[in-house]
Amino acid sequence: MPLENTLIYDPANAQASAQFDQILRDETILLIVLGKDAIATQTVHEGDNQANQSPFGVKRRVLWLPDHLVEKSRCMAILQTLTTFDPTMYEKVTAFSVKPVSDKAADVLLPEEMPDEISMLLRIKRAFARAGQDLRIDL
Amino acid sequence: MFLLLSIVLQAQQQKPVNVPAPILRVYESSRYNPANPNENLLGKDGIVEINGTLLLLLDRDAIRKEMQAYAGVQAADIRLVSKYKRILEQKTKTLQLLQEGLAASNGRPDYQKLNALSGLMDEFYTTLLSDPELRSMADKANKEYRQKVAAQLIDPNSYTDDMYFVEYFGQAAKAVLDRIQSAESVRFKLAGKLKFDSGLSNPVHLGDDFDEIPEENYVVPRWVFSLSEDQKEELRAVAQLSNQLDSLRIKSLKDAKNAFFDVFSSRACFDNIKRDLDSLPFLVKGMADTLGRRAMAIIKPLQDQFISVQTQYLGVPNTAAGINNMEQLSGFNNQLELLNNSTVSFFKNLPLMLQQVPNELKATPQVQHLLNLRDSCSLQVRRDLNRFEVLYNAIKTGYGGANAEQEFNNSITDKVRRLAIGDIPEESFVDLTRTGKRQNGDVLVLQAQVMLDQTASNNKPNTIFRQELTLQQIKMYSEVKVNMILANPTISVPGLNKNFVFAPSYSILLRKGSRKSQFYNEFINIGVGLNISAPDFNLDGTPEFGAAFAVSAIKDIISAGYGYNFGTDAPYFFIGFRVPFASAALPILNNVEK
Repeated sequence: MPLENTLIYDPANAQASAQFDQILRDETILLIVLGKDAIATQTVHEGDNQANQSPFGVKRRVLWLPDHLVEKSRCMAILQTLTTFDPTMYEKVTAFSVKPVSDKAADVLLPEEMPDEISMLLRIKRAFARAGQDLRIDL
Repeated sequence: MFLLLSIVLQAQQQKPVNVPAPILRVYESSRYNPANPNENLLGKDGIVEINGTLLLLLDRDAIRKEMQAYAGVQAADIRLVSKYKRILEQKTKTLQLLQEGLAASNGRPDYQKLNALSGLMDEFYTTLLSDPELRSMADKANKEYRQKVAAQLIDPNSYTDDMYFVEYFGQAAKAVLDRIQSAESVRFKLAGKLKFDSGLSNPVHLGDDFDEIPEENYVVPRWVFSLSEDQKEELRAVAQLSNQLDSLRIKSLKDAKNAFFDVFSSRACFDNIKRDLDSLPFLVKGMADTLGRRAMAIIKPLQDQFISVQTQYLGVPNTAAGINNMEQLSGFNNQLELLNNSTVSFFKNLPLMLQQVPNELKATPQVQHLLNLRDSCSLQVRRDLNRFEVLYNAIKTGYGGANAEQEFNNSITDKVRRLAIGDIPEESFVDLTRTGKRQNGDVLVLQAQVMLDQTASNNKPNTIFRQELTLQQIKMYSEVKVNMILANPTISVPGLNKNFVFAPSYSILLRKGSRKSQFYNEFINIGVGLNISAPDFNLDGTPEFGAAFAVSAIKDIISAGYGYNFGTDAPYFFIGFRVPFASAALPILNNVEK
């Protein structure tokens, strides 16, 4: 199934970093998925599917970084806005949601939280929901 | 005799009291000790005073459990209702949020509402994630949903998985409700009857709290007490939420319709375009009709389409018509797309159509106005369509499953009202003196049954309690017995050349029954009293008058005593035998109706 709401980060693309910047500036709720293992791939597809919904007109997008190490510093900076995030866990992170136009992480998804299909679905839904909370956007 | 008595008394001490199931506890009311309920509790084969009053203590909780078990209501069901309540609460808050905000929607992303909605959805998903039972249900719902999407039975664009979840939970809760409702329709029947030796029986009135239908069994009218107070409270809370949801749903739908109506501002464009086109025939004689007809041929379907959508989704503002449930919005996306395509096509064709207008007329204000309208209307219609889409998404998110919840809650509300009706009495008195003709040894049968309150062929009652009590005159009572005695004078009587003299007699006996031994009551049955006889000690052919102290036992088959023959002035002792004549009761110490 084509990924209609997902931007796949391609380091070979000279515009990739700029696209990363742009997507963070967009008024969208973002789910950033790290890695290319089976769980990450499933998370991307499920996230893309869930991004078809745009409650109250707020769009959702998925950004897929198949390589954990690409853009690590920027991802870490976003993740560390969550006080509960442990930086040593970075390489275990499957995905995290980001609030619109804020560079602030809302929820972190770890593989052990998604042992089955339903847990993954609910975790992704919750991650999107959490990214829609406590928004400070002056539009 | 005393040996026999001691054997009986020993047997009584060894006999354990057979305590019945605690659905119903039966006492003789005069012997009931509230401080020690186990004292004098009547066992399954208890013996009660035939003229006493029985106290029936009903254990509502035990009966409720029996009824629940019979109806198949499991603790898990009640637990599920409790969990469903949480989901309803969250759904109610979601609808509250939407009804507050829908009318004010302006078609732009609304972060404030998203913020509130996200909080609720976060709570909802956390509930599902943290509860294995609900998560398992969500898993089943998700699998079903995906199968239906794959089979193209569901359009995921107009019917999201969240909506499906709520519908699924609604149906699951409805199934639980059905089971609870079947528990409510379980009937509890408490009946009493008096069995006679003849094999016949009479119904017994079990107290004023019970039904007065004079049938063989006294049937307690339908009592709905299959749930505990806590469980009822839980259901009442769900019902309250349902009412809240209902009013919110109505208000939200009305707001939604008004909001749809508001965003339909581009209708004015079409009105203006139509008016301008209508005016063209007056400008161009000859061509006017053709042009007008062609113009109308283009604009009419578009107008019809708008009117159709307006009627279907808007109805009339501030009325209940229009959008009433999510199903009506199914396919809305497709219609919106068609409307959009038609609009694009219309504005694309309009200049072509206007090219046919003679050059001298192109400068007229009407045609210029039409061209200007084309630009402004095109933008306006596009904006309206976008706003429709935002509203549609908001409604889609908010109303998912509202109908299923409503259906569930409407029914539960009705049932909860019934739950409050008529509690079973905790105690009842049975005055045995009002049970009609009876005699010692008759058996009072108390029986409780549960059954479904319907006439289905498989509706077999389940006996949850049965107790047989033997009626017996326990307190002192009197009897007159006719018997034949063999009297033996203790002194020498002139003319008497034998030890024993036969004499007819009757005994006036006083007796007491036993509450513990039916063997004693039925067989030993000792009585003491006065024996009056007519012996002929001097053998002169004229009976004398004898009176003696008598002891009788073994159903009066045997008696003995010591007395005095007033005719011959001779004391005597006697042994006696019962003769097969009926006994008679004296009107003293005796109010048993025989």
